[in-house]
Amino acid sequence: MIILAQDGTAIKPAVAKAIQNGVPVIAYDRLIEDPKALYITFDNVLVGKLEAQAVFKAKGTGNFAIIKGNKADANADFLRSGMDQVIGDAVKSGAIKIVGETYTDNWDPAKAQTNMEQILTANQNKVDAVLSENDGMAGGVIAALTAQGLAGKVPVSGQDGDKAALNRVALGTQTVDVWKDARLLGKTAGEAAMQLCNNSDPSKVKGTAAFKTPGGNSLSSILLTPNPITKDNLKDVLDAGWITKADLCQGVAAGKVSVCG
Amino acid sequence: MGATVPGEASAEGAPARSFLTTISSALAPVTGVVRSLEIDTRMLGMIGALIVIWVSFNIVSGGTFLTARNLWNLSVQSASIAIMATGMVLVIVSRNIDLSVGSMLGFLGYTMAMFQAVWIPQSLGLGFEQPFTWVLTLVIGIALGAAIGGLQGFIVAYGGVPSFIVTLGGLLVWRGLIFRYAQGQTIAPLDTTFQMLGGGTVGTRVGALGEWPSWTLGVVMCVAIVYVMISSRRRRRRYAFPVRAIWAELLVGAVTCGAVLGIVLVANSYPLPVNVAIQYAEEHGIAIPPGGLFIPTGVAFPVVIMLIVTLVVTFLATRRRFGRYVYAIGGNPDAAALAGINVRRTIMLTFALMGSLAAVSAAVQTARLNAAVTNLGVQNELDVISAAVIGGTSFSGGIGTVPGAILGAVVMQSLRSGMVLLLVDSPTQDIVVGIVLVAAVGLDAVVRRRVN
Amino acid sequence: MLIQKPAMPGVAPQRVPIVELRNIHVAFGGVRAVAGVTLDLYPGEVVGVVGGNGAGKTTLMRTLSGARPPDSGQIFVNGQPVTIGNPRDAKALGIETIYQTLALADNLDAPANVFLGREVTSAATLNDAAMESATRKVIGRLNPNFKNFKTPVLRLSGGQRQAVAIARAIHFNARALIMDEPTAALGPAETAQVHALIRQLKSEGIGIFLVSHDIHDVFDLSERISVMYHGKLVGTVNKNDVTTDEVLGMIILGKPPTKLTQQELAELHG
Ligand SMILES: Nc1ncnc2c1ncn2[C@@H]1O[C@H](COP(=O)(O)OP(=O)(O)OP(=O)(O)O)[C@@H](O)[C@H]1O
Ligand SMILES: [Mg+2]
Repeated sequence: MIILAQDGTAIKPAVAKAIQNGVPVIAYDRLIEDPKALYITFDNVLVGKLEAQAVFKAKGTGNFAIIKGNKADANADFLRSGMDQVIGDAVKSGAIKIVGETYTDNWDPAKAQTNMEQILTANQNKVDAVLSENDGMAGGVIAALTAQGLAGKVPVSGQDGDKAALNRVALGTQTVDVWKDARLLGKTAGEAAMQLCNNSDPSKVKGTAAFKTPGGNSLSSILLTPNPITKDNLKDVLDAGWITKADLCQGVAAGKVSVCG
Repeated sequence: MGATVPGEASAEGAPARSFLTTISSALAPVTGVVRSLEIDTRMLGMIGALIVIWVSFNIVSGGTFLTARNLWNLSVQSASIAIMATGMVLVIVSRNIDLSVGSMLGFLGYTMAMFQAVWIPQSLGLGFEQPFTWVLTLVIGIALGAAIGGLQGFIVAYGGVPSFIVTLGGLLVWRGLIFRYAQGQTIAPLDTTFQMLGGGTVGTRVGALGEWPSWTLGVVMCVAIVYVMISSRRRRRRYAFPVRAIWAELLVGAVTCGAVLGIVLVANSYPLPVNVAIQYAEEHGIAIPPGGLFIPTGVAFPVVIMLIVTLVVTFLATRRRFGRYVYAIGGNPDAAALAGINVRRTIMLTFALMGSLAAVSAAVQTARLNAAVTNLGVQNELDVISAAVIGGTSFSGGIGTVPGAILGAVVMQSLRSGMVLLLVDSPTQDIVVGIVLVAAVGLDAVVRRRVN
Repeated sequence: MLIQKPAMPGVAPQRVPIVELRNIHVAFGGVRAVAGVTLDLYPGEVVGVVGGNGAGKTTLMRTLSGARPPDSGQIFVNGQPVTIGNPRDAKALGIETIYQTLALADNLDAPANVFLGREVTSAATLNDAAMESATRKVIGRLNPNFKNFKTPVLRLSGGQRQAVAIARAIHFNARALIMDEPTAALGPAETAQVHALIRQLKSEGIGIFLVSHDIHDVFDLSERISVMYHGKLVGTVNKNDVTTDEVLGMIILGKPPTKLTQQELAELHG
């Protein structure tokens, strides 16, 4: 059984029942707090790390704002801990100052926009970089930056491979879009499912490692590696057929980005 | 006990009583003034609360809250909820509820985004950035909003299904439809003229009126207010009815006009952000003076839209039969039917109006974000209902005002924006807004019981 | 003793009834609230409609005011068969009603209630001043002390509310009026005022159905009295032909006066 759970805790009893009855369960992209489930996902801590790396490369010091996702979603904290691996030292040394850090109800881009506006107001626009946990909220952040004439001047991160976000990467208003190819996820899950049919022990599936959950469980997992898309490797998403050239390059001035011509 | 000296008891009682009488006699002129001004005391209370909130935030934020910039942002941030709250007042007044506004907004915003970013330019092959794109999109969006709102209203009014159920279904259906046909993708960017509706910035174009049009708007509104006051006074005079004292009339006129012009003044005190102004100067060949360039932004378009919507819905609610019927139905549905009112049609129309206002808000929100996303408007129904209720709309029906709901929306957004300014996290914000909601309604109930 | 019958077909009637209800039936589920009642009303007369609680008086009147169209039966207005499907139809035919429940929108003020559904507009907007002016005039006829024209009727006394409901019925030049217990909430002075009003309306040629539990009022004001009992019409009698005791007997025992025994009449006082 392959499950994409909205709420990894609420679904526990149902999953436990399935496993008792000998049906192996794959937690697809969302964690399920059951030690016998196989968790397949992109490494969210790594996603956060890649987001922060790209922004950190563009701006290594100064005032940072961090726009996190929904508080109830474990991914928001995984992403944040990945970011900390990159900027943690600089924050401690004082090279980076976090001038605003908020959770965003429902990962709502409109709320992210309002929050960003308030952070800019509170700091008289002295914000040098923004770590946004996903593309939708990055859209809100960039709308707030645009209103202050700061879009493109302040690096912004994101993830999901949203077409609008990839377009923003081409336009130069978003620095990085960490792309998790859903097809890779699907392929891996399918292969794992085939193996589980022969042997229902998840730890015997190829490429698994133990994974400690926030709920204190330890389960087998396959963590896939995402691809951070910046202006320099936009070709990857085009070649994979993820986005059309027209969508990617809409509004991009000629000669600015190599793939757009 | 029992050993109390009689003299003591009276000595205790007497000052207490005289203290109360002192207070009430001290307040007597105040209540007298309020009465001769004929202003809703609830409205005064809300304005008072708003002032307290603003001043407190200003102190705690070290003077940031009451800057022109923050107030300008606040006005834009409040607009979309306020627009829908005006319609929600009528829905709740007629003893119904619309839980679907957030999902309708998402669905309509998505559809409008598809129209301008995909269907018109690509499917119809007309290309991007046509001058008519924004109007066409807006008109179609509003018509679609009226249609789906009206459909829900039809099921409520003619199908006899409680509005709570119908719109709860709507909440799921419209959101589900977005996920169905959006498949998680964001639609962006939007038409640049359309983006102006959100008060955003495209290059050096800003979604605001600019300096002189803002003043013109303010003056026109002032003249209109004075005209309405004079003509209603004349009318009452003609019928020899009692009229408000002339000083009270002047005071009310001056205060409302002052408020309108104050809003314009604040909007005009917010200059274009430095980077935008520099670019603007370059494009228009303006030399930048040594002190920096000060180009007033003016009243933002979402606020202009909100003002227009407020005027239109207030007019419908208070000056047209439709509004009278909505209130009558809320007061006593049987009496309304016995008076020959077409109750079903009226109810259906309130929902259609709600739908079209959701479309207007959807335009504002998508334009502001320059994108339509799948979770656009999620949980907006809670904000909209809260704004109406904080603004004095009663769930028992028949009571509520449009300006009250606008104030309610501003109070809520002030709390939220202020708390973000102070880096208060969203769960805490929710707790505070929740407490304020209950406190506002509870306090109102207590005051009303005292008065009656 | 004369039991009224509808005008005989073929015989040219002296006068045409304003309203005639013929063989009206209304049932609520299994409850036969009105079962085959026939009544008529002539210009300038008051017909008292009496009966015990739940006899069906209100239900019968509501078929005429359009609040609850009859399950079967016919309604004639000025001799013409009509269909009254809703309150608007009744008003268009000149039939106005003062409901037992008053049917006021509590949150609205007196002028708004008087003109509810028939607002005065100018330039497509409500003309509240005109409505208030008219309301002041018409309520002034009923209760000269009435001052609260701007307060929601919720805050008015029972009698003031009743005045609003009456004002609404008489303002629009009704030809037939249905008054379902119009003085139930009124003090003696206000009751006297309403009685005077009924006499005046009568003299203007308006026909009135007066539903009341006060047998003396009914004798005072009406020409004829119709008695209902368990949804059926016991009979309609001329006031001058009967005593109050006989009418009481009809109400309580559900028998026409001819069938009432002396003993039964005596027991009514026991
Ligand atoms: N809406 C309704 N639904 C069900 N039953 C009803 C309804 N209205 C009236 N009835 C029933 O019809 C019968 C007649 O009621 P109606 O109100 O006409 O009596 P009434 O003569 O006016 O009584 P009263 O003197 O108490 O006003 C009663 O048995 C009542 O219970
Ligand atoms: Mg009755």
